[in-house]
Amino acid sequence: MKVKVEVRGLQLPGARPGAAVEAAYEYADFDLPEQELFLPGHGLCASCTIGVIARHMLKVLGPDTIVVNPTGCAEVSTVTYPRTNWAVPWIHVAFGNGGSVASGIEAAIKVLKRRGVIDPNRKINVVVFAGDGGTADIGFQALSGMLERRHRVIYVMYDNEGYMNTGIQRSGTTPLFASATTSPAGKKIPGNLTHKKPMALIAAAHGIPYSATANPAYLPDMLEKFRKAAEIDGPSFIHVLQSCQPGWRFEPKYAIKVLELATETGYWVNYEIEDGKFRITVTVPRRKPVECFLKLQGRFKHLGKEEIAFLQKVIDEDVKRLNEMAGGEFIGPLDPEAKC
Amino acid sequence: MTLQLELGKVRQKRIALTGNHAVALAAKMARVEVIAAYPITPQTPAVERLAEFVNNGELDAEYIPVEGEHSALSAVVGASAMGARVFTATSSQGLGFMYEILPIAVGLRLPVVMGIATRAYSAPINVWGDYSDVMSMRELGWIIYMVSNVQEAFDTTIQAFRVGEDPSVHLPVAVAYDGFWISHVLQPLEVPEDEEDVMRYAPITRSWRKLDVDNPASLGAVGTPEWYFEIRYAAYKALEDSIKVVLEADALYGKMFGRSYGLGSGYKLEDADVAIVTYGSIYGLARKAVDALRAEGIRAGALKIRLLRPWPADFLRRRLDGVDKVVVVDRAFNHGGLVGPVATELAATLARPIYSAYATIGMRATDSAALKKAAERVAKGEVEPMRPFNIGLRGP
Amino acid sequence: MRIESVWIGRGGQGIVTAVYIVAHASIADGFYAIANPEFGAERRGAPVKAFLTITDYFEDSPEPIKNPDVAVFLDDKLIDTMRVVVEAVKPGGYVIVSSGKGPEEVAGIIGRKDVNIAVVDGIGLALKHVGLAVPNGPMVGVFAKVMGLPRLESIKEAIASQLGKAVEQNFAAAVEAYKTAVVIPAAEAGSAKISVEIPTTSAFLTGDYELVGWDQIPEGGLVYPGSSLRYKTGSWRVEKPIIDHSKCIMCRRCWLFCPDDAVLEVWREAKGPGGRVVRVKAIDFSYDYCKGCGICAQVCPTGAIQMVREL
Ligand SMILES: Cc1ncc(C[n+]2csc(CCOP(=O)(O)OP(=O)(O)O)c2C)c(N)n1
Ligand code: SF4
Ligand code: SF4
Ligand code: SF4
Ligand SMILES: [Mg+2]
Repeated sequence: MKVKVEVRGLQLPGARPGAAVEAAYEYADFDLPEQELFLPGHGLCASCTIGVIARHMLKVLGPDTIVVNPTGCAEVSTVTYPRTNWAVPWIHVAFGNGGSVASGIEAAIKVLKRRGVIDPNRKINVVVFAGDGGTADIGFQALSGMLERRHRVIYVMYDNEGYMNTGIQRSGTTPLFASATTSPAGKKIPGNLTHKKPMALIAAAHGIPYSATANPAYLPDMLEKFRKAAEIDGPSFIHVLQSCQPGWRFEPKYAIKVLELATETGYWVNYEIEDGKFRITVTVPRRKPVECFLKLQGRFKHLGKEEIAFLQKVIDEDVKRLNEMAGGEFIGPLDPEAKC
Repeated sequence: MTLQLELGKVRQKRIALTGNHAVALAAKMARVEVIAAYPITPQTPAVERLAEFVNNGELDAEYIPVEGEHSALSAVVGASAMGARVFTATSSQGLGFMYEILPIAVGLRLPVVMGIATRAYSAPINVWGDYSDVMSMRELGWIIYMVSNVQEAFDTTIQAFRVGEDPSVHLPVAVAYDGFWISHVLQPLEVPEDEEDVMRYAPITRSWRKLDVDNPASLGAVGTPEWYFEIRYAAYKALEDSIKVVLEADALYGKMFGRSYGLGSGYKLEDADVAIVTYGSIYGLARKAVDALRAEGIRAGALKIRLLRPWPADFLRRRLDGVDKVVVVDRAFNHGGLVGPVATELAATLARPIYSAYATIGMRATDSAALKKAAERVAKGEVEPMRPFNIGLRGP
Repeated sequence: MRIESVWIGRGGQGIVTAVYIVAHASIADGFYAIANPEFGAERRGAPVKAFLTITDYFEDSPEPIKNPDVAVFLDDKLIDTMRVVVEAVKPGGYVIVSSGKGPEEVAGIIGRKDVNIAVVDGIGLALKHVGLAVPNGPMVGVFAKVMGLPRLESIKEAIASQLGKAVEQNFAAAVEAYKTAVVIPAAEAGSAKISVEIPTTSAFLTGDYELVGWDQIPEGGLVYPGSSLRYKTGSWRVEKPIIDHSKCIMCRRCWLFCPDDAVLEVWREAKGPGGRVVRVKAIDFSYDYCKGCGICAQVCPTGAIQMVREL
């Protein structure tokens, strides 16, 4: 089906930065198949954007896709005996081994093609759909091995910035100062004290052909990244931001809005590294203050002016570094007056 | 009967290999498709040899040099779910590192075949062969063989594919062989000349395939309290019932290749008053001890357990019910338990007190004289039943 | 003394906290209590149940309650889904419901004349005092009213200990519920025996799947596509989306961003020029699965979708 997608903030490659965010509406044509491969009737929380990511991921990758889903919210909520939401082959083995299970599957496909069991001309995607904990923490080693060995696997990390399945504990991607149950906003320590691991950069440092960040609120950009990853003959890594209502504590209806703000404030920059070339794919002419992103969420409720200013500084620096890597001001300057 | 005639024709040749290389050759002759492994002493030469087979084009397989054992087992689990024939191998710390995935391979019903060159668990770190690794995986649902020499290691590895992949089984199989005393000893063995004979014995049926793009399904669902019991019970029952398949596969192997091993074997048990029960490479020492004891007028016998899981209770009762005193020489501690790990199970099987000894812990050297001495002490009533004693430990 | 209660709510409504609070307060009052919530893989919005037994003697093993003295519903929409719980209440027992509907209407839905019924707008009171649609505080208050225990002071202590925040607000919600809940006494004595029992499984919470024996389950617990369609998550909803077709420009943002695949594109008949009936593409919702998150309404650029509270 042809779907007209209204995209806010999206500018096509090479577009000149500078136009106001509000004016940056563009239309992109995207051919999305009507066929649903991620079927309804799942146990994800109302408003959980895992559903949005999984559904569109499969629309792009198609039925010849095998999904490896390590332990986490996506896994327990979508495949509980006797039901599954996945209309493609799907496997869950454990929490920290998405990369290695996928390595084995990909290796099996190769040898079974050689032995004539699977049609050698058939292109089968192997995709890992793993949480931030399953990727950046306990599954880090398996991921690194998989990337290093160059398996043709698309690794999609949905990042809700915490261990949500076990009840919102901090992870290696929980942002600075966020309150989580193992990094609670206390009287002495204001939440999580570590910085988010830049997983797409870490993956790219393995020298893989494709690594990217994505945000489901910027759908065409995310879909395009899935498409590219599927075409690559080698490992690819996509770090997708995913809003989590109980973990981030926003009103459910804002699940997409909060993701938009993540990018509009420069908290989350959508970029890709293709054959070593770094490119920011969603430009933001003028950044909103990070407070716009923070104030929708209960996990940052405890922050005072000082901490917010500090976070703003961290983002300013991150943006500066990413712009430098991209060779231009693709994420524009902070507009302190901007309305949220 | 044509089958039998054909079976009789299997041509074999005598070669000399170490246990590790024999296991690697067996996996190669079974034409494994995906191998994922990580080096650890004393298993390393097995997976090195497999890598050579692959890189020299002698084996058309994918060899995944993973970054750890957790990934080694995970990768072969993934490959097995695709319907591939898979192999991995490890020892002690490596087995401990992959522990999380061991029961998962069972629950997912995947016929992974794994070689274990047995080795003591740290600490202190000890690379030598005792059975503390093997004993730590008894409750998880794997079929576990313990072999006694290089030939048996080769033959059992081939049998393992046929057994694990049987449609009524679909369970992972471990073939344990003593670290060093089998893994690194060079012995003569007979191997089929033609790989095709091995493939006729153990054809790859792919009956266990779970992931198939033409017939999508989800594997590894959450099993709530309403379902876990049933799903896991099916694996439990399959393991219990697999003993028939173990015996059939062994009998067929005997017909085709002329060697079979049963669930274990006995030596001069018929009129024995005292029996030494053990496993692994030291069974030969036990037999020598028996001969020495008999020369002194003590009617002794020996028994080796080949199949640790499923536990061959009937076989053991048949062989040992008539023996007055049974002593198990266990090769791994049962820390805090009553008697040694195998002794515990055998006492329950025979429903009477038996004797329990610990030997070869951390691969402390032992010999037939030491085993003879132990059996003598049992025969003469110098040790108490159900109270472990040690063979070769210094100190009080 | 022995009071057995079953609490039914949704993930996120604070049902675990509710039973912990009542248990804690009862213990503070000198009784014994076991609060035994069921934990499952379900997320926010999915039905959950918890058991709570209050006794005046010590008991240590939690046992599933099959015929409770009290059933507490934190959400009236769960009455139909959990009808078996209503049926299993002992004659002369209590059914306590949080509902925005009138007490008589709720009594009608419950449909039993041999039980006492108590109704309060728990969500309304929670929104008023705490600012969150979490009706646990009010339901604790109503429980205390109809059962005569625990004491309000103890409830306050328990709230402070179990929640540790917004204590005054939650307590105020509990107190107002205590004061304003409408109690409809049982009209009949009812038959001495009831035949229905609450199943000891939680499976009835997750869809109408038949519980079969171990030999009928596919090897390895394989499950096949399509099986999720019987898991109707529409019952999780508190608000539902409705559409004003005249405002819809068919941009499909709602369809793109619905996490539950509950926005549908359907053919609709509309009046065309000159009164002619034409078939046009239109947006509709699959209320079997829609969890009422409100994303579709929020992302709609024209305001064509409204969320309305479903009573
Ligand atoms: C080895 C192991 N340790 C811990 C757990 C418990 N556990 C299950 S899921 C999970 C967190 C998952 O976090 P993430 O990968 O971010 O996924 P999310 O639930 O947030 O979607 C944890 C800690 C486990 N299943 N296995
Ligand atoms: S807890 Fe968060 S990530 Fe998990 S299902 Fe709920 S919204 Fe999704
Ligand atoms: S309310 Fe949420 S679940 Fe329902 S149709 Fe809208 S987006 Fe989908
Ligand atoms: S988002 Fe609004 S305007 Fe667009 S299709 Fe949906 S209802 Fe219509
Ligand atoms: Mg997470």
